[in-house]
Amino acid sequence: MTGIAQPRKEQAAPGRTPMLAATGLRRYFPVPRGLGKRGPAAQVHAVEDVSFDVAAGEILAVVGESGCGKSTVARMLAGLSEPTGGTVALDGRDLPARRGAADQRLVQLVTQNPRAAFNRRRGIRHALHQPLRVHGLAAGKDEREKAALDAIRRVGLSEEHLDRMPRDLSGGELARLVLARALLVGPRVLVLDEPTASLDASVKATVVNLLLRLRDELGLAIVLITHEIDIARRLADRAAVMYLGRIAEIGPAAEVLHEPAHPYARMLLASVPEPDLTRTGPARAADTGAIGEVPSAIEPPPGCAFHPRCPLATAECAVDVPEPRLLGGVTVSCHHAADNAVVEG
Amino acid sequence: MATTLGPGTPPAAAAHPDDAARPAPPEPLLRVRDLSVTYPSARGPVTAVRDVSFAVRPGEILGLVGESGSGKSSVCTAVMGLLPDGTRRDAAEIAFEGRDLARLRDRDMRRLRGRRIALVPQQPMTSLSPTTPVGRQLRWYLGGLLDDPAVRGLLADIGLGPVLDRPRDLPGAFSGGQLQRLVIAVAALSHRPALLLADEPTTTLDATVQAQVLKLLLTLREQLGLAMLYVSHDLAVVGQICDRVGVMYGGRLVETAPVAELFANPRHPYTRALVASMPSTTPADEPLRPIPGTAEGANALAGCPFAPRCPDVVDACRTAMPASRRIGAGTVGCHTADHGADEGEAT
Repeated sequence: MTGIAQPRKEQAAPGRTPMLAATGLRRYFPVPRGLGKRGPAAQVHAVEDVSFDVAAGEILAVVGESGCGKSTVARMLAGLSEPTGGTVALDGRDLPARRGAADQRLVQLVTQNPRAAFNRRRGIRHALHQPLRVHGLAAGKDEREKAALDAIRRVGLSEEHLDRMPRDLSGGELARLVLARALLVGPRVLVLDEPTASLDASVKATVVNLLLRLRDELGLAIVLITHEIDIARRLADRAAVMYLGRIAEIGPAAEVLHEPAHPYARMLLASVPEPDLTRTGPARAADTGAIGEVPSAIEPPPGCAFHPRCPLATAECAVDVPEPRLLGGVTVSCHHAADNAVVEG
Repeated sequence: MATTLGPGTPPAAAAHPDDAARPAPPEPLLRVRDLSVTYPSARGPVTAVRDVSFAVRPGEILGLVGESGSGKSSVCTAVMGLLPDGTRRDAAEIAFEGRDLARLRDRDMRRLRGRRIALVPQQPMTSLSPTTPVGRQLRWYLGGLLDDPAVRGLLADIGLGPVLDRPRDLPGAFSGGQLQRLVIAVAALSHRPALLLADEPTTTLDATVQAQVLKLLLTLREQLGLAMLYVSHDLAVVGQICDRVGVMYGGRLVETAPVAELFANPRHPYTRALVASMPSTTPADEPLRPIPGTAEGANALAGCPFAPRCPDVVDACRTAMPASRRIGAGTVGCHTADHGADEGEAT
């Protein structure tokens, strides 16, 4: 394909109004200096120029390995971390860097460990009434109780869970309760940070099916941050692969999570363990071509951050940061993705 | 203290990996019969492992999968003889290289540990000294082997070049993947053990690093003829690197089978439900089917631990744990699974 454009940010497809749009998001963290060291403090470039948008009723998966900045993106979307640069817009309106409670309510974050997300000394009823009280959403106790009941039934649990303590509930039930709590305040966007990472295999399926149902019922825009590719494949309509703070590739999940163009995305997908059902003899390791590890984000490699591990790297990659280019339906940040696509036919 | 191995010991002429695929299986390297582990707790004893029996053949990788609380790690620790004080370990037999580990005195067990059986823990950081340079720690464990060009070559091949190049750095200066590979290399090379117990060795690692560590384990198996007991919660990982898999639930080993057979034709209702709930084994156009209920309290049941969640449950399941039966190339502990005729070619 030669239809190479250079979009500064990923354009919304026609007929798709973005509910949530991130434009040029950056987040740097200062690194504490050692005692007696002088000069400017070093900085971790956790997120570097990240842009994407999500429509209502759509799930965007953001996948990548630890340290790629995906959780920092989640915190910025939810207004818990102030971007060093760039903006987050909701339904066409830029949200201020310091968000008021009214805006905070519209973008809800669900964090990784559901057990840590509840007050251990208060029951579930308290946990579900509290957000309504904080946002002044229900007048009086009865209305709060009614809203809490609605929410708890929506995630497939029953009234009796309201009287339980977090310690008496299983991981799967708590995972559904955090979702119920996030939905109580009527958000437009749900940001899920590793919603299934701490769950056992048999429980993951429950949460995956629940998320699919909620997306269809409520028309939410959902950003799913995960390192579990198989979960992302199940849930996502579109997907972004991040590496060292940048988006390497973004586009329809059917392409990005199955036939990616970026060499890092390919390495990542090849590394996902899949049982080889045709094997009869002893196990042999699949050659994923994976070499090395993610370098430090304090001094990321110059040019394309992936070039030291990349099989396609040339001199150009060590110097120039690749601009995102539209390749078919997918936006890829790679100098060689186009050549690659031709080779693959 | 490389007393058992001089420098320049040739690579072990151990069992060829193809042994596992030969029709006549060799004598098992490790045979565990009726292993039970009971931990003390404030609310009385808790049985984490109950009557578990399995065997690992030379050069074979046996996977042990289960959800949290299924007892898989306890099996590993019990074989290693490293259960905490106050824990009860009962076993008819833990036969390893002609000795019964269940009856071995502590001091004899100490001589075996790290030499004939080595453990790769989940957190590599906790098994290295944080304040000693990595070069000196490698010297502790590998001794004169560290001067052997073949060993250095192997270490470099498995991605430990940076560790060899920066021997004066502390463990904290290396990544989790590098340290995990270091610990695996030490476990596998220092005394050339016959059996490696790996307890979730890749759980804390990223996908691309996990792929490299899995490849390393298989390389070591091929080069050194190592047998492994590979404990993991991740059926997909186990499906990739193991030859046979044991599935644990509520402290019991409910099914063992060769990998391909386990996925193609799971026999135990729990294994069937587990495979059906996994994204990587469910076709994309079919919905995932979660297993209803929870595993909580399964350890305490008198009968089959899966009975409360089982779709095929019969009365016998609630009162007695079914004995393990041979079906096809595996074993299944279930009253209802596959009686008689429909063996093998069901799919």
